Amino acid sequence: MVKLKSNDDKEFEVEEAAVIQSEMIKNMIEDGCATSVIPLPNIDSKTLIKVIEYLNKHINMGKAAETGEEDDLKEFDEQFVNMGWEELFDVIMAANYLNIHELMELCCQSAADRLKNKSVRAVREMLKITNDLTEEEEQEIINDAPWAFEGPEIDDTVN
Amino acid sequence: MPKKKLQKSFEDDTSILPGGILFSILVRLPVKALFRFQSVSMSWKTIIFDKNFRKAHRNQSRALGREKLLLRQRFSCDFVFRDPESAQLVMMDEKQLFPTNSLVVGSCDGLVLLKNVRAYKVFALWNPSTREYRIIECPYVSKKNLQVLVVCVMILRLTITRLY
Repeated sequence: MVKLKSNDDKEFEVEEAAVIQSEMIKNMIEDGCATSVIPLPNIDSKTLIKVIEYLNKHINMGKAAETGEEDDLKEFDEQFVNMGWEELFDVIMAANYLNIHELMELCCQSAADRLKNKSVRAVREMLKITNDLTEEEEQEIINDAPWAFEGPEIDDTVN
Repeated sequence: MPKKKLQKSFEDDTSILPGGILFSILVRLPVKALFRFQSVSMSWKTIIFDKNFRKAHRNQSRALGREKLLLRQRFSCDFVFRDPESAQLVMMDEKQLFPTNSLVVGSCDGLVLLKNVRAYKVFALWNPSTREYRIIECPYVSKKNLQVLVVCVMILRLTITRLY
């Protein structure tokens, strides 16, 4: 078992087979740096619980293909990313920091799917981005490809 | 991964997202969204315009097996672009196209080679996703169909990387 500690001082025990899906921790274990508790100063306990849930479910990913549990895993993934916007970003940041490739893929794809039909205004608001383009620059982009700004699928709501 | 110029634009970003992560998300967006999101902010525009980003995006779309269906309406000859994953139909505006009286010669890697029926030496390499096309004049084309096809396939292979 490997012990992980979140930035709010909570400890979690995780099976080594699960935790080595994180390249970062795998390297630490291989280098003999993971003898006691591994502190994770960038991750809070709420996010770490989500990440561990994912790691435990994906522990036998190689086996899933053999036993026909792939559908089950796919369903889990769909349920897993069904979370709030802020929460999703916390998990993406954690997956990036821990270097868990599959989790990063899953969450970035979910973020992309949520953004893809959004209007420019909605994206700015959702991601708290300040528009630093001049009006002319913005108009030029619209004039270059007006079709990209039109269509029944474009959604101006923020959620 | 992003190079120096991109790095700078990431640092300037006022958003809650660090640049490397933004790159990973944007690379998964469909082309239409990317055209629109160039106007989100200067740093988004810089990322999306960057050659490395476009390359990464192409590889990502390939890895995802993202496929589209290009249909042509029988009487009007208008093109219709269809995403098999959604029911949505995208009509192509004629003005954005190579002359409508054109033949589809072949397609490869998301690009379509069109031939102008009135001028047999004139071809267009068209990217329906970005709605951009480039006219190619081919002086060596024989009128025989077979040879035309062979030359076309060669042109296609040669130009694919350049259009991106």
